[in-house]
Amino acid sequence: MHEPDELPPATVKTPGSVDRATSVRMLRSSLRGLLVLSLVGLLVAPMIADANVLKTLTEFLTVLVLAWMWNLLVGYANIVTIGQHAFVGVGGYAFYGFSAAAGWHPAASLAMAAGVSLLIAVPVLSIVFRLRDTYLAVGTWVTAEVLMLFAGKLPGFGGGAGVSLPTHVAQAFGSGMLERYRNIYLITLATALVALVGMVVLLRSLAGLGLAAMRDNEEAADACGVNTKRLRALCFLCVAPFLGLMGALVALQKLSISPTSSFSITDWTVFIVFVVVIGGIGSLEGPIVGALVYFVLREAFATQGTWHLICLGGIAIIVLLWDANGLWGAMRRWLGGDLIPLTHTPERGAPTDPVLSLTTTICK
Amino acid sequence: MASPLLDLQDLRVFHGRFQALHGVDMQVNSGEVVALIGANGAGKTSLLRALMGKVDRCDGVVMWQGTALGAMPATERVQRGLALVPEGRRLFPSLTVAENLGIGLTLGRQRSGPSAETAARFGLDDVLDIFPALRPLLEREACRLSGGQQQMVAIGRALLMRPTLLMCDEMSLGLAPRVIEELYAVLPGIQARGVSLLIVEQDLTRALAVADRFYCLLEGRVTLSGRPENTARATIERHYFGLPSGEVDLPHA
Amino acid sequence: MSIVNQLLQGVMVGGLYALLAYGLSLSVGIVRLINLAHGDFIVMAAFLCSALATGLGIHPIWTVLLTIPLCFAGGYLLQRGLLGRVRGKGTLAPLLMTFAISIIAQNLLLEAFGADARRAPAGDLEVTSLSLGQDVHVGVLPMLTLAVAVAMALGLDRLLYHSALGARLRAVSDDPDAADLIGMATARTCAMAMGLVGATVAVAATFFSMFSSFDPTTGPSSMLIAFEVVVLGGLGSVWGALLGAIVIGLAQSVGGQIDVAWQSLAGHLVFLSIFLIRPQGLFPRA
Repeated sequence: MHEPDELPPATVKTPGSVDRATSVRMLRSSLRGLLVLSLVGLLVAPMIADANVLKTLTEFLTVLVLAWMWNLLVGYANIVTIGQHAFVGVGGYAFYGFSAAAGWHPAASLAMAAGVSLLIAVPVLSIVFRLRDTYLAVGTWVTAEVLMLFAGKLPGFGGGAGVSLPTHVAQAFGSGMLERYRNIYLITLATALVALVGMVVLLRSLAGLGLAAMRDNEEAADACGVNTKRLRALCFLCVAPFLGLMGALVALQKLSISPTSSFSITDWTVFIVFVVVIGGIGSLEGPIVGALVYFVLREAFATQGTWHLICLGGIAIIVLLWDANGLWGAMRRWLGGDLIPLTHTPERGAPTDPVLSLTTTICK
Repeated sequence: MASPLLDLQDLRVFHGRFQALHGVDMQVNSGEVVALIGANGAGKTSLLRALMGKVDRCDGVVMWQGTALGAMPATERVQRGLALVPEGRRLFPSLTVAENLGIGLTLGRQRSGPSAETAARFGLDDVLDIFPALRPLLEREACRLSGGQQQMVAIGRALLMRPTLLMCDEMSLGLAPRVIEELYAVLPGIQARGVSLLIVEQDLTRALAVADRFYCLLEGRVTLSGRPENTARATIERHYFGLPSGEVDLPHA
Repeated sequence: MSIVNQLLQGVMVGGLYALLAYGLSLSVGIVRLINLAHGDFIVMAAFLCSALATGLGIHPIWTVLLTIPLCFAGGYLLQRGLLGRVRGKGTLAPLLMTFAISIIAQNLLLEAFGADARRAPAGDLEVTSLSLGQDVHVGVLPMLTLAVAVAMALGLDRLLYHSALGARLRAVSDDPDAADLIGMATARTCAMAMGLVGATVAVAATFFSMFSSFDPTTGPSSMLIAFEVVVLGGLGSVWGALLGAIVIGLAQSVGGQIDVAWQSLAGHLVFLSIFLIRPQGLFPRA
C-alpha cells in the first residue's frame, strides 16, 4: 500500500510540462502555507474563540492525535490494531483513580494516565504480539473487551454504570467553563504538537527508515538487519501513553468515566479507522485530511448518528476500492510529494542525526 | 505455409517500471517443439507469464490460432488450448496427487474454441501410462512428493487440460540428471499425440536435443534463432552467455 | 441445576457456537479472509429469519429454506463485487473493508429495526425438554442445535475433502497465485466459498435467533466467539471448530456457575490461556 515518497523529476521539458511543474510547486507551497496558517490559528484560538469553537477544536485535535497514533501503528509499524480504545479507556480510568480516588493533583494524574497506559501496554505487547496480521487485529480487540470487562468490575470505579468526576478535579483546570475549555484545549494542542514533532523526528531518523522498510516488506527489512521486533515494540510503547493521555483528557471533558463510554470502540477506534483510511494511511497529512472530512460530514449530518457512521463507512469502502492510499495518497501523487517531508537522503560525511545514538541500539 | 499456432510480434513486457522483454518476435508452428533457452534473468518466465496474461503490462501482439489474445484472462486462454507447467511445479501442497490431477481434468472439461475438437484427449489413464511411477502415489499429498514426482504430476495436470500448446517452464530445475532424462523422454510421445511444445530451459543440451527449433533469449531480446542441427553449438553457447565472437571455446558436456 | 446438567448445557451451547464459527472457519481457511462483519451477517440473517417467521407465520426452522439461498447469493455477490476486488492486495485492505461493512451493517439494522432486542418465536421447541435420567434434563432445542452442528461438520468435511468443488476450494486456499497462473477461475471459486459461508450463516442464524435475544449490536460479540472458536480449533479444521466451540461452551458454563457476571469473561480467559500454550490450535491443518 506504499508509494515512493518522491516521484522522479520530469525528463522531457515541453512548454506544457514546465507550466505544470511550476503550478504543482506553487500548489505545494500554498498548501504548506495553509498548514502554517492553520497552526498559527490554532495557537491564537484560545484568545479569540468562544467555548463552543474551542470545544470543537479540542475534539478535532483529539481525533487527529488518535488518528496519527493509529496511523503510526498500522501504516508504519505494521501493527494492525482495532483495540486502541483499550488504552483510551485505561487512561480515563487511571485519571479518575489518581485524581478522584487517590487525591493526587489533577495535572499529575494526567501524567499518570499516560504512565499507566504504558504499563499496561507491556503485557499486552507480549501476549498479543504472538499473533500476526489479522489475528493480531482481533487479538487487540479481544484484549480491549477483556480490559473493558475488568474495568466494569473494579471496586470503587462505579461498576458497570461508571462514576462522575468530582467537581474539584474539573475546577483545578479552571474555575469558569471558558477557562476550563481553554486550558483543556491548550493541553490537547500541546499534546498534538508533541505528537507531530515526535513522529517527524522518529520517521526521519534511522528508526524511521527501518519502519519504512518494514512497511514495504517486513521479511526483506529483517534480512537487511532491521530489528523489526524492537521497532514494533518501540512504536507500540510510544503510542500507548499518548492514547492514555487522550483518554484522560476525554474523561476530563466528559466529567465522568464508564466502561461503555471510556472504552467506546465506536468513538475511539471505528471513527479513527475511518478517518485514517479515508485520509490516507502511511503519511502525516492523511489523518489531517481524514479528520477534516469526518468533521465536515459530522456538521452536515449533525442529528443523524447512525447515518454519519454509514456514510463514513461507505466512503471508506469506496476509498479502499479506488486507492488504498486514501485521499492524501491520490493528492500526494498529484503534488509530487509530501508537505511535511519525511524522505531520507543519504548524508555526506558523518551523519548528524540527533536520534542516531538511540536508534543504533534499537536497530541492530 | 500454414499460419503459426503462436505468433509473437514485437512483444514488450514490463514489471512495474522495469522492462523485461524488448520487442521479442517468436513463432510456434503446429506440431513443433520449440525451445526457448537463456540464462537466469533473460526474461523466459516473463514471456510465459505474458502468454498466460499474468504480467503488469504487455505491449505488442500475441496471436494464438489467428486471434489476438490482447487482455484475455488466463481462464479463457486455457479454454482455448494454452497450458502452463509453472516454474517450480506449483502443485497444491495439501491436495493429493489425484486431486491435483483432478484440477487439470476439470479445466480440460471446459475446453472450447476452434481447437477443442482436434486437441488430444488426455485422460487419467493416459497420464498414468506416461508416468507409471505415479500409479502408487495417487493418494499421497503433493507436499510429500520428491521433486521429480512433483514435476510428473505438474506435467500430467497440464496434459489433462487438453492443451494445444504445452508450455514448460524450467522443467529440469532442481532435479537430478537421471530424473531429467526420464522427464524429457516422454516429450516426443506427447508431441506425437499432436500437442505442440514450448520448452523454456536453462539446460542447453536437453532442450536442444528435443527441439525442432530454438530461440536464444538474453536480457529480454532474442539474440539467435534457428534449428539445432543447422547451428553450431559454439555459436549457440556464445549467444546464450552473451559473449562477443572469438571468445574462448567452452568445454562441452 | 446439577453439575451434569450444567456441563451438558455447556456442550450444547458449544453446538451453537460451532454453527456460528463454521462460516468464519471457511472464510479464513479458503479465502484467507477474517471477516470482521461475520457476526453482523449472522445478526442480519437472524433478523431476516425472525421477520420471515412472524411475517409468514411459520416456525423459524422452516425459514432456512428461504434464507439459505438468499444468504448464499449474498455471500457470493459480496465476494464477487466487493471483497474480491481487494483480494491479494495485502491483508490490510480486506480487513478494513470488512470492518467498514460491519459498521455499516450494524447501523443499517439499527435504522431498519431499532435498538430493541428480539428473539424468534420457537414455540414448543423452546420449552420442551427430555429427561435422561435422574435430575438430568436437556432441552430439545439445544440438543437439536448440537445435532445440526455435528451434521454440518460432517457435511462440510465431506464437501471439502471428498468432492471436486472441495478440491478446487482447497487448491485456491493453498496457493491462489498458482491457481491463477494455471488458469483456474479463482475469483469464481472464492465467490463460491463465500456463498457457502452465507449458507452456513443462514443455518447458524436460525438457531441463534431462537436461542437468545439479539439486537443490531450483537454482531461483534458473536464474531468474537466465532473467532475464538476458529483459532482454538485450528485454522481450516471444521471438526476442530466443533471441539473448540464445546470447550468454550463448557468454560462459560463453569464460569457462570462461579458468578453469572463472569460467564463471558471465563470464555475469553480460557481461550487466551489455551492460545498462549498452543497457538496453532487443537487440530491445525498441515
